Amino acid sequence: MVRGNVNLYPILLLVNYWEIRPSLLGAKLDELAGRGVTQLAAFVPWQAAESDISHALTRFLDAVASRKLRVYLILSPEVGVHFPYSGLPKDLILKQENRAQHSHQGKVTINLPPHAYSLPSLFSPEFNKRYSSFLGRMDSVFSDLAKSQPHLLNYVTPVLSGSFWKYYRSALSASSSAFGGLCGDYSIHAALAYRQRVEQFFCQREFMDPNPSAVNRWKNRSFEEINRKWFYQQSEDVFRSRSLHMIQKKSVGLKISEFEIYTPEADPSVTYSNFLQMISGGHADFSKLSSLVEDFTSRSSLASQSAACSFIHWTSMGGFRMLSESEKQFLILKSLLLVGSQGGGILIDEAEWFGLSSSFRSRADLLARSLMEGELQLKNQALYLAPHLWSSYGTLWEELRAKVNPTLKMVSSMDLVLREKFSQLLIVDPAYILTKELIQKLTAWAKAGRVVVIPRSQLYSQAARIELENILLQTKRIEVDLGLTYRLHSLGEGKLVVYDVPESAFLTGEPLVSCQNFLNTILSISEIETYCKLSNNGLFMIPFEKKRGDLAIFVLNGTKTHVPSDIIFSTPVQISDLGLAFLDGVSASGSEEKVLPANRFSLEVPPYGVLPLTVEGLHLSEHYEKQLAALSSEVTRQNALGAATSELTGLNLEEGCEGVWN
Amino acid sequence: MELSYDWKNFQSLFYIKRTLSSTATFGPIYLVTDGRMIVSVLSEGEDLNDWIGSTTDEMVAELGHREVIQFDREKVDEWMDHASGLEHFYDQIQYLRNDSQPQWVTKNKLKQNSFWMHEHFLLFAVRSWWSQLVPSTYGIYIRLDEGRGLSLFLIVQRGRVQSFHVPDLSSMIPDRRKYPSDIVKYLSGHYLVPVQGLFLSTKEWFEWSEMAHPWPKIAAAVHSQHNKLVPFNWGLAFLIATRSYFGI
Repeated sequence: MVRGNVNLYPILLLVNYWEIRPSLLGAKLDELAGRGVTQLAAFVPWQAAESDISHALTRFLDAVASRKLRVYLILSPEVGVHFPYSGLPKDLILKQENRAQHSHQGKVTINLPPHAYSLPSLFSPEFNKRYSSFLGRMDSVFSDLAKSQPHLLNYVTPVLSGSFWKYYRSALSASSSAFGGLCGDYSIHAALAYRQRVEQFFCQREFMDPNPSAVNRWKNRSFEEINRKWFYQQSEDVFRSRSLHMIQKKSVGLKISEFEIYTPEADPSVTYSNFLQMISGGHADFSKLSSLVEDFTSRSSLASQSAACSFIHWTSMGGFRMLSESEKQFLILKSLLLVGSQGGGILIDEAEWFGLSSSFRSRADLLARSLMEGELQLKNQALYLAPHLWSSYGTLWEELRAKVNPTLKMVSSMDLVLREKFSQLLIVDPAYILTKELIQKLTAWAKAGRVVVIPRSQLYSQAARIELENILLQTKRIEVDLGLTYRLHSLGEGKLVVYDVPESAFLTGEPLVSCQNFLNTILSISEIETYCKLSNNGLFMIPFEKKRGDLAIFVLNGTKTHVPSDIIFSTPVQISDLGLAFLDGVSASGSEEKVLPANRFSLEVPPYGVLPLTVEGLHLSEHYEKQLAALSSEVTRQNALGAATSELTGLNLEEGCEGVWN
Repeated sequence: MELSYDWKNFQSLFYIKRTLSSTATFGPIYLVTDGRMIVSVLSEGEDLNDWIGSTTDEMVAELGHREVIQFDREKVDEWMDHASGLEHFYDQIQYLRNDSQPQWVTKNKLKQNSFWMHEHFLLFAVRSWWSQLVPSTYGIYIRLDEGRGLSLFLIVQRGRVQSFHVPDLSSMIPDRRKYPSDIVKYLSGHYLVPVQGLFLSTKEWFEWSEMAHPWPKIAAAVHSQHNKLVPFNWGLAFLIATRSYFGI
């Protein structure tokens, strides 16, 4: 397993250093190094760190560095750690007042071995105090190492993650759909923080227009659900940046990685299923775990600098352990494919990994290398801007997912949108509060040949409304009513669509059909086309663009039966088996036999199978050249205007250029 | 550092992955319902998740010929809440299995409790009436395939498993680690408790673990090979035989 120069190698093997006797640690690491492992990950449980009188962590880091292995030390509290209470201090976690509550006022129970427990509230002052002290201790450990054994730090990367935020959901509302229902902590500590933050947030001048009493509209109880969504997102972002700040107090130059770690086995949507397994001794809910992987990977969270690397954690004590070998392999491959090309990967216990067949491991290793080196790229075609990443969003999001999955990403920050290279479409959720600055950013993004779809809702500040009206005044527009009314505006090289918000978030019957028609039109305007279609809905397809411009398609069958299907393309293409490339470790342009060009091919995917195909003849490069030309023209225009503003005194672009010269 | 609770090995030895039988598709269906609405469904070897959101009446109309065992969601929340306050995951599972009372939606051929996960024979034995005949605190050392397989040392106190871990034998003279009696003697001296060693093959351990009533097989194996029990204890052999023949 080699460290890459593009992405992180996407298979991180977990070694729990506190589980290994000191006398056996060296032998264990030698064994792993001998098997080609060059990087590891380890959770640092608070309990282990707080009582580490024998300096087990330092000795582990020393042993790792002497073998030139890189280790990612996960410092943030996470679920699924092989330590009682996931390593959290017992006295802290057992106090009733420190516990989180979901929206139905119940506790959030994680029933994974070695201990089922209720999650603590990340708003609890006592929790935060202890967490700060833990991070301070770790900061001291790293700064001491920097002074006494600086070479050790060349092999250590501390990792901060998104912690428990995504699990604060009621098992009841999450049972019908993954990430279903309201997500957030409703404990007393959270409620206090919420009230305080709402007061602060709406104190901004923008929300006081046209008069100071206007602010009361935003604080109205009917807006509570909307306000809670941005509040939880902001709290999560603050938690991340505060953690980063705390760990870098003394160890200033230390490089920290930011991950978004997700343990599907601990998700509230499998809580009841876990209960049934515990009493019946049954197998894990494979299909639910599989759908959770899809749901998680359709969300992208913001770290302090960029998008956080998404990692899917498969524990060796929960439901994953009870799956069959083929089910495990399927979930590992699915996770790898969906997150590996975007800088993320999987976290898996080393014993669990080496318990899989060697042929599977070598295939997965080759795939992981391709993803790491950027040979295969999963490009986002569309983005969905939502106020909170872990909440559920009605029909609009669900229908869009059904059409564009897996090249659709939900984001909760405009910064992530601005960093996105490939997406042509951005849809803003009706629950998003629109400010003047956001409108300016959205329209600027659209002008570069993209499509932005924004709601006509009550959630505009006065300044945002005026700004939008001013922008739209200068544009041509078409008003369309297909059940769901929208206005289409031409904006620079791109388009802006303003849609009327449906009365209910979850639509059925005729409104659902109207919503589907609306999305079809939007996708058509954005020139988003699915590369191909499968005639059987039971299969799942992940399309990658290869470096040379061809397409690689992975067709996944998550059932225990053979599934036949046709794969249909809009133009005649040639397909071949990409799997041969993985098996032989050579380029797909090798000597394997290709099928004659056609629009339609018949496939049969084996149970829990992943069928890798190479597709040639789709001419993806032409399409991207057009897109890049539009983008670069907008960038040139922006640069020219920027240069003019800085060089020419008195030039005000908001007033227009003509006045300056006349 | 020696862990008091080596969960990974404990899980691997006592909560083993069941082999799916060919008739698994006709196994009982377990439900968690909110009122009449199904919120979770589990059946061995089947994906019945499409039923989530529908009612138990609808399910019974279609799958009424099957055993359907239902738990009320509010009760499940209460049980899980109570279980989360218990000390170990092992206790938590025991509590849930003993206290969770299902309601039958349909009951055909299965007898009460025959659908329940059977408790591992050894865990059941240590907390059964045997605990009144054995010392109040003692150790059990399980070693599979002469050390090539899993091994675990359990300390049992008044019929309750107190701790479990892979013992550190590094301070033993290497040559003596080959002899089961020496290992047991060493552990007994180190932990100051009487220790009963079980030296078995991985195959027989997992075969017995999957069975609801493996005692006849255990009795036969002990009878034919006394060295499976170290030290060989006639009293224990008698208890095994009693359980084997009379089921008590």
